[in-house]
Amino acid sequence: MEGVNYTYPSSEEPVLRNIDLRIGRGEYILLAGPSGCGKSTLARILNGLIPNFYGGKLEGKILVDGKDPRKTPTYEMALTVGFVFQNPENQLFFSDVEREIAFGLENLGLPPHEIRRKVEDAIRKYGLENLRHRSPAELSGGQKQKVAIASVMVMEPKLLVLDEPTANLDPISAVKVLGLVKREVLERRISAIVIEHRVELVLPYVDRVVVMDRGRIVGDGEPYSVIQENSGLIGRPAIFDVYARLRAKGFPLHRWPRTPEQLAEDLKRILQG
Amino acid sequence: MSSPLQAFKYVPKDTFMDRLDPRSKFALSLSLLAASLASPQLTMQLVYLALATLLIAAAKRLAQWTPTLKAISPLVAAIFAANLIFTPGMPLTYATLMALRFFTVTTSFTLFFLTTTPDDLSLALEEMGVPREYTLMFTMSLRFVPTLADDVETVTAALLSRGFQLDRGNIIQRAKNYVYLLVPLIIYEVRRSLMIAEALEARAFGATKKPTRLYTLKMKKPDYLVLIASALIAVSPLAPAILNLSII
Repeated sequence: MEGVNYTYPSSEEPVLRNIDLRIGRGEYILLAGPSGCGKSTLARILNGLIPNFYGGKLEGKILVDGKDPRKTPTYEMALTVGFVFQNPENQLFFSDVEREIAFGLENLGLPPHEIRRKVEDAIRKYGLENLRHRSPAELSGGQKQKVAIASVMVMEPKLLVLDEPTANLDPISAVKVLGLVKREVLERRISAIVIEHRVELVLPYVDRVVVMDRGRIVGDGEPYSVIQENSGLIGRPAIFDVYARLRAKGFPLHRWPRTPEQLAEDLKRILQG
Repeated sequence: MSSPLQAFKYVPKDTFMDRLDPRSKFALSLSLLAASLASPQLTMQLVYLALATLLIAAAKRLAQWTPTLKAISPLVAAIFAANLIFTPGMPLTYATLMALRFFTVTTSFTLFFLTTTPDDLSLALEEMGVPREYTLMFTMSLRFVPTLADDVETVTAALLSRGFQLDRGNIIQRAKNYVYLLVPLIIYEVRRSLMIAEALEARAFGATKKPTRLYTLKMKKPDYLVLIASALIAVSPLAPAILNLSII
């Protein structure tokens, strides 16, 4: 994205101002910022929901895998950009997990045997064997979101966008869901952007953090420094403070901690000499 | 779910009826319905009703069927009474016929809905040439029933927790109270439907005019037998006349 501005049809003020963003293959990015800063809007531009579904005025240069989402129908963008929404309830349309996963492939007109093969792969990969014929009402929040991710990933997109995928989940399910994304990033070399408010949940996985505020990108880069510089906007994991204090006391810690466990591990190594 | 609607709630079981193709099941239910409507004879009505009941028993759904039976009984009684009073000639025979007929019609359709999943039903519709947009509408409307029930609960709880009494006052007042439930609920559901539309777009809905399907329906040997049986049932009202039997 280069110099992207966007204004919703019902508003005068632009919600995105001069956005420059380049996403590389295999990157796992946290997109953070206060509510209403334009994160979800930015995410929806990537798969063309904006402006194709929402309308409004979108300016600037946008290319996703060589395609301009403005000139490409959303269903075609769906092949390149997978989108997982906040509420899993609204993205499950069938009373059967198998049919749910097959739906996107059916829409693309794939032959039934190929759909069967891909659905079986996805079911195995996401450990859904026992839930195969369950309806969403019989699934937990974490299981629903897992099915939602599986049914998007089965279409093999190159970029996965997750808009607060863990907002309705308990912390343990949330970590599991974010871990699933990490696995896809590592195994298939896809890129992923996750919008998330609980920074410490994503921290173990992401290798880049983008911070937005009032429609602009105000921070972009390596997680530790970006989070430190923007902690007023997105908060800071308590473990960062512990790390800073330990360093101030002269502990030779060479890497910033992604998890408390990691810091404990490093500290143990130092203390044991 | 309240008892009369029990008839339309699919509970998975693995019986002969469940394994049939939804299209042949539909033909079977339809032929029972047509035969029952066409036949003016009491004996034949009893045969149809017995047949439909037997099929429900074969599908191991008798326990689910009885609440429906109970629920429609007052209606059947009313049909019987009305015909008894207003029919000239032989009112008792005619009234019994009409009452039996009503039982047969409901039973034959209960048979279909008790043994067919909503997903199978929409597959069958798609197979018959109904576009995906419409079958999906049907599948989704059933899929979102529990979600809607949750939403009603959420809005009700929000109203109650702010001291609102839904069940206060006379009937008119109560009806008015429900407006307070309906307005937020409608807004809630309109927003939900927009989010669902977004999610549909993101799953390439509408990419091809002719989407393929993971499952395709296939008629097997038992299905053809059922189709033949259905055809026989459909013409059975003519049987007494052909055989020149003068049973009532």
